[in-house]
Amino acid sequence: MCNPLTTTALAAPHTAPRARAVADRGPLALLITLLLLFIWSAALPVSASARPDETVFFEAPGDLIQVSPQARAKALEQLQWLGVKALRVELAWRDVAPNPTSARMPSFDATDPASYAWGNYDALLAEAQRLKWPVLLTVTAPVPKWATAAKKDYLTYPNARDFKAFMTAVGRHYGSEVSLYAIWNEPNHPAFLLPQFLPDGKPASPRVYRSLFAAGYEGLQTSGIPRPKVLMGETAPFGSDSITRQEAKTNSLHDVAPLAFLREALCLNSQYHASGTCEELHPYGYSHHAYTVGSPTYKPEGRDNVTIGVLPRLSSALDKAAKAHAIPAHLPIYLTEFGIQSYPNRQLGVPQSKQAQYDALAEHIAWSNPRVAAFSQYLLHDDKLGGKPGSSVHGGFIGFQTGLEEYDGKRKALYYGFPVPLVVSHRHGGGYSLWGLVRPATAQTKLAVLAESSRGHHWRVLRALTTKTDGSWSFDSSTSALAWRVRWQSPTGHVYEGPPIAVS
Amino acid sequence: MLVLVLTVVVPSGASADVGTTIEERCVNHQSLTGFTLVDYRRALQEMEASSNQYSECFKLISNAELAAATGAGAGAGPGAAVAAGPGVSAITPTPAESRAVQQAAHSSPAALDLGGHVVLPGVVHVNIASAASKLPASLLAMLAFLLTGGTVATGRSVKSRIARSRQR
Repeated sequence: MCNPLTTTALAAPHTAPRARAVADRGPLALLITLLLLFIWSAALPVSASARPDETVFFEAPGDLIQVSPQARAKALEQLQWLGVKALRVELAWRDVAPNPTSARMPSFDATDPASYAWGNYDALLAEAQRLKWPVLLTVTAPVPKWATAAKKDYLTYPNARDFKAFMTAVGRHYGSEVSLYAIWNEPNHPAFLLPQFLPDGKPASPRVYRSLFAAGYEGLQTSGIPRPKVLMGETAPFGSDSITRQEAKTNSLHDVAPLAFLREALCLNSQYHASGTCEELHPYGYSHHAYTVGSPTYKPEGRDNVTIGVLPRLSSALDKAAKAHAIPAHLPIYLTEFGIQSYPNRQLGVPQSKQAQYDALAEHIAWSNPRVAAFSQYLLHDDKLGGKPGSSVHGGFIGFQTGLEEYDGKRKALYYGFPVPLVVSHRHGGGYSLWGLVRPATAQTKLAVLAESSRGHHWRVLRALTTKTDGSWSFDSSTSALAWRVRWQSPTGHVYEGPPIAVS
Repeated sequence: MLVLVLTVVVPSGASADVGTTIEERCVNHQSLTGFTLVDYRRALQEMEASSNQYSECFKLISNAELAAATGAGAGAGPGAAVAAGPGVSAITPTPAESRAVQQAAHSSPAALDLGGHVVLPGVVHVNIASAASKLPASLLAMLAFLLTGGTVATGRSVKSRIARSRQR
């Protein structure tokens, strides 16, 4: 049916002045429309775009390295069920080197792989190759005593020349089995590299690390890999830019803040301007451990600290470093170690139901950030509860409760949530946005999203849908619920049912 | 017998847990004020390795300890009465701050020093330059574009009206 007013307006010549007036307002109307479009687009939630290129590394040293072949096989079977498709392995130099506890370096060809006892690492990497899982190999401390400056411990001033020779052996031995290398685990943390600070309180570890990175890179080149893919960083999330002289004298437990570490390692001042004559490094990417405290949306106070909730701090730092020609531009970020601490960790842990929710939320943050090339899960089984301060530095350990199972093997909610992560968030303007992933999927697959009625104890199918080819899915819903969960049946008939997830 | 067992099992008192309380408040992003220097030191000494090195808590509790030691308001002095007991973060205003608040309520708008900030009662303290600097660049560009466009459109409109009135 025609609108009579419109018909009249188009037909009647006497309406021309009004039409002209409207035409006069044209630019203004266009501008207002543009502004409204801009505001509308700004108000949209972050797009859950598909990230088929994002790798998720799983790391489980307690289940995969120092274990019997049977235990390793069982753990790998579990990982397959969970949908794992890539591994991160930390190779400790001391574990494979000859006479590592001796202060005197033995006489041997340090570049020859036959000089080392690769042991369980060989077995694990062979399994990964059989499963066609890419491996990120992080070569790290502890180091042989003979490879340190004072030859008194396994962490202080590792010798870069010795490290280069070791990396040549690593490259020759694992060249075809490793997809990606990284130099050092958490080099800004006193449990992995010493000293962290000089007696005057300024950071010491970044420059030590820079020489190790350069030496490791050259070592891989010497092994016959002309352009090795090596990640730089692997930094822990929290620390200090500097400490007092008194702290430097009495306490060796302080980390260097990750962005202060980045600047110092790249010879940049606090304004990210070159502060020396260092040459540009050529890492394949920058790796970081974006652990949070509680929720993934937590923003740490220290501006040089980087958790999953403040990843733009790292992107910005990398861009500034690239502008100063310290590293290549647009370096991708690899989140190579991550997990949400849960109970029974009394201090940093969240309830186990929250762990599943927060872990999925963290993965969604990583997934939605185009700069992030990899995410990760650290631990299948929890460690024992951690020790007192200093335990990690003095031969003890820091217990992590980021696993999918407790130390005694009891499964947490995350065990069921990891294969089918789910995030439910409030939508601007009402309703909910749901995002998820069917991790074991290798092609498009069908799943059901269930919602628990407001009265509770009654679950109904909210929507049956098909994932994208990478296993991800998303939709908006106006239906309120107490909680949501995912149900998926694999092509082989296994039924996966995630834990109830509350709105984030 | 039961009483005896309970006596042995139950911790000796709240003071034994104050370090844990401070640590828990820190990892839960709650205020750390209202404890004594001794409490902060205990929290730092008792802190578990994972909290120490995978959170900002060592730094934050050290800062609270420092503030308490220097009387900067984050805590009470060593051995002094805790403002509201462990786990409660209320800070009692200093006498000078109390006087300033009283004065602000009843006097003419003279400049007052409240917590280190000079405040003029009755004046809205808005830093427009700071607010604008926090807007996204794209929005600022759009606003500038709109302003220019609006000026041009208004100019055209005025011009055409003048032209029309001249024609009449």
